Amino acid sequence: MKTSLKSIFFSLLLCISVNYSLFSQQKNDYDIEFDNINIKGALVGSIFYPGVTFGLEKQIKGSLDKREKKGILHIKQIEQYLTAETYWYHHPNFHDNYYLTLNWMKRKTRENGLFFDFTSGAGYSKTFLGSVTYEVKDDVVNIKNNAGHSYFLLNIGNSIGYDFKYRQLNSWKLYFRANLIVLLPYNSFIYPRPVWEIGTMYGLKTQSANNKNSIK
Amino acid sequence: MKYLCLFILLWLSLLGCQKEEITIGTNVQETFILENKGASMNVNVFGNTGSKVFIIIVHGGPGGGSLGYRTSRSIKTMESDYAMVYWDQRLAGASQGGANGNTLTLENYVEDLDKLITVLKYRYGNDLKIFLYGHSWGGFLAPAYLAHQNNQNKIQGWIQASGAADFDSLSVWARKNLLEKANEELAAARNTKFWEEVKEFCEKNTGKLTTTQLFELNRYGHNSEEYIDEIETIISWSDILNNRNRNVPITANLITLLNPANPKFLGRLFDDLPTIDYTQIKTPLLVLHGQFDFVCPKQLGEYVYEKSAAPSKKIVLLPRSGHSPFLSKDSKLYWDEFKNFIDTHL
Repeated sequence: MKTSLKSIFFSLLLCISVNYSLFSQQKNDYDIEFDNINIKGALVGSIFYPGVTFGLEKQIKGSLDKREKKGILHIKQIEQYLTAETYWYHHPNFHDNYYLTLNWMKRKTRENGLFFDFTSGAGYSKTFLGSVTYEVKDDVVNIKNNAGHSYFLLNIGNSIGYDFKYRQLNSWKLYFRANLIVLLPYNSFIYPRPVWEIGTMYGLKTQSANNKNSIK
Repeated sequence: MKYLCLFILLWLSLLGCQKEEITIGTNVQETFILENKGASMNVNVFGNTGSKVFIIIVHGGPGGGSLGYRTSRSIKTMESDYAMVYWDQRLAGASQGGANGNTLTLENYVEDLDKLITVLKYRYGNDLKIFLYGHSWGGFLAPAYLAHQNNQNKIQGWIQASGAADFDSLSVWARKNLLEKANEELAAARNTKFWEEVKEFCEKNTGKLTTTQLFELNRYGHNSEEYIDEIETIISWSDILNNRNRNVPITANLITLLNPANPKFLGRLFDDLPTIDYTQIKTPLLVLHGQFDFVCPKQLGEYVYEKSAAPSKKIVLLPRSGHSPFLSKDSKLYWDEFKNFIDTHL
């Protein structure tokens, strides 16, 4: 398992370093494009227990917010996405939690490439217990394989990130997100848990916003 | 795509890959889970499993957790010689489950404990010598277990620490003791605001208490310890936190403790509690009780001691303690008496 996590970590590092190596190719004409579909991958930490996440973001709405301040036109990209994300984190001796969330997300990207997201959604969580699990029937002890529980899951999160398309010709983004997930019913109540993620996104399909040369 | 495949492989390889690890040694730290009727209960075993002497902590609450009982002194005194079994009961500590609130019955608790003993014997050998150590609510559950069928045959000895023992008597004695203490403190003009509140509650709520009133009485009992000079608490919560298993989910422990549905489930549980016939319990007994325990008053300890049919029994009232003597200045005396009792009944 350690080797696999290492591979994922190195692949993320590779993606990031490719981005940096392309910094010198800055665009001059600020052609703003919407990312129709993003694919994302990130390292996850639930408190300090590690995991990974992968997902897709599909844009459902996009617009430009143009404001002029002191004669300079400022443009903010405002988008709404539907996202499907799958997560896993490993909490030794407690559980491994695999969960799938469907979210609505709002993203605001400033003209310097900095973006902020708000995400909320729901999903399904399947936990696998983190230690050998026994059940006893008629005084006979059996090990229960794949023991765990299924929960309904609610998710809320905020991210901050940087969209590299504002500086170059590719569609990579780096981001950090803090989520709060809630499993329920957990012991007939709820179980909240913070989950942070740090990772990268890539725009698979882009669409021009037709505002070429609108920013000076 | 390559990385997506890697992730899927990683995911699949982790499914159901928990290995059974059983260690017989002097400094063991291992965890397993007992599953029964909708609850997955964490069990941590710490200490000397090679001794074949296992002490099961039957924690308080209901809804508390077991690892709060693991202090530096208990580790030092007990774990080098015996195996301490920290069992999180259903809907308590790090136990997991779905909509399982309706399973909170005494019958299920007793069944859980019995199954835990079966698993311990399966893991560590049939020749184990098992002791029960019940504190607070655990001091009702442990004797309820012993009084059931032939369970006494499975248990070498029983430590009743600040045990709830009998809920009807508990509320009567707790009110009586609190009222006496309130009058004493008010006469001395100490912490008058708090003690007036206590006095008013005790005088107003007589007769059989509802669950809500019982909780209120319990709260006054706990809070009174802050205002009683004789109680000397020396162990901090940081000591307890430091001695927890590194991977214990602290948030899960807190959430189960704070579950607002608890009064509903516990109300049903308390309504059905039987009166335990202590005259039928012959298991060797050690009663440890704080002199200033207003949660489970010391009379409960004396009651169990008097009624028990054990040929070997002892009671120790701890002079500087409230409800949790293992956190007080009496903790050395507490663990020394505990250890002597175990050694005497091996």
